Amino acid sequence: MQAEVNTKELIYLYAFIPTQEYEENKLTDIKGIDPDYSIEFYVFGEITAVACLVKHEDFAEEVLQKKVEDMKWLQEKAYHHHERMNTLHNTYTVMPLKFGTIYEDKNRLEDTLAEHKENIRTVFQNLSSKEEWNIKIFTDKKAFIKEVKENSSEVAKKVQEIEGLSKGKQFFEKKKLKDFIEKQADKEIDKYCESIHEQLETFSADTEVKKNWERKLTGRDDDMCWNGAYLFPKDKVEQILQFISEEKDKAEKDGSSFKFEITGPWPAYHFSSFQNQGGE
Amino acid sequence: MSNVRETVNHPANMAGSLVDVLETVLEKGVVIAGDIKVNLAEVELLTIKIRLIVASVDKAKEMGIDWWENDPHYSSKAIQMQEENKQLQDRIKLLEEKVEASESKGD
Repeated sequence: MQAEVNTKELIYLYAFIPTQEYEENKLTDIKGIDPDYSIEFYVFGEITAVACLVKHEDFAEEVLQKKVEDMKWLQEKAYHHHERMNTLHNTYTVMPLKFGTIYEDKNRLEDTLAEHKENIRTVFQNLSSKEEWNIKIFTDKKAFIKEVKENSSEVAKKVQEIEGLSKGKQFFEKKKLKDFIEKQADKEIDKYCESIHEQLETFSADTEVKKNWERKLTGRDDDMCWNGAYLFPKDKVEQILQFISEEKDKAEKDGSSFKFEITGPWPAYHFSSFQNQGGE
Repeated sequence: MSNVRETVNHPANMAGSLVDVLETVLEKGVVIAGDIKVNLAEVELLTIKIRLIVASVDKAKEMGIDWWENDPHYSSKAIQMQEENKQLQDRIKLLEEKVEASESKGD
């Protein structure tokens, strides 16, 4: 069914998919990460590996290390990986692999696959009829701090305490007040985000809290205060989106600066790891 | 109710989110032992580097990178070379700090 693997080429691996789903709907003619080759589906029992031949001259270890330091090349290839994964994900239950998983030949790939067969099967089960979504919350921290300074009862209490102190002590305490207000603002931001997260958690099969990005990464003029990946059952997604939409409206109506950004469905990059299954 | 889905970004359409894509594709996914080992720089660093090398504004906009639009240095027509230069210097410094930070983290 597939062409024999030429020893001159390496194999770039994208993902694993259940063979049953592949047999039901065979995608063909998808250009690979090396545009001279198309994507191939290697069937190994219940598991099908989605891969593409790549040339030694571009993907051998020492060449590849240099290539990934070329930002233009890396960006292009990373986007390719991303796009192909979306294509697969539109049709199959997909276990996405990390960018740059490459084998010398089909036998080596088969060996690795045999080693992880049980784990892969478990992940397929965990992922079936679920979707990964990413939810970020942003706020204008400066505005938030100002708001806390003016309206927080905690801050008002603190200010009152300071006014009761001696003049010398007041000087130092006033200096510390700025920190106190900022901390108080952080606390309130966290509290808000965590309450949203907790509600999302009740819908989720799994969650991963990720690092917030700084402005120079987001390019936005407000601040990221929550970044979470969620594995939602497909039949809950509508309800969850509705929930977010309501929270959005609520935040707007309350005049708060909280903004939501929701993206999905993603291939389950965050929830395909073997670690959870006790594999190596 | 039925159009809630349409208000969100499908990853297929979000060429704009450079960091999202890089972070997800380069850092996440199943890690199994391949035969080829390659070291990728930290995604934060990659993102900044990529933005630095974006040569043409139009090309960058195509890719959805338009963070400088709110930056008076860029939106004003009176961009002077020295200002650009200073910004670049700042960014390089930032990059160097990042490199240092990631190196010391790796120790």
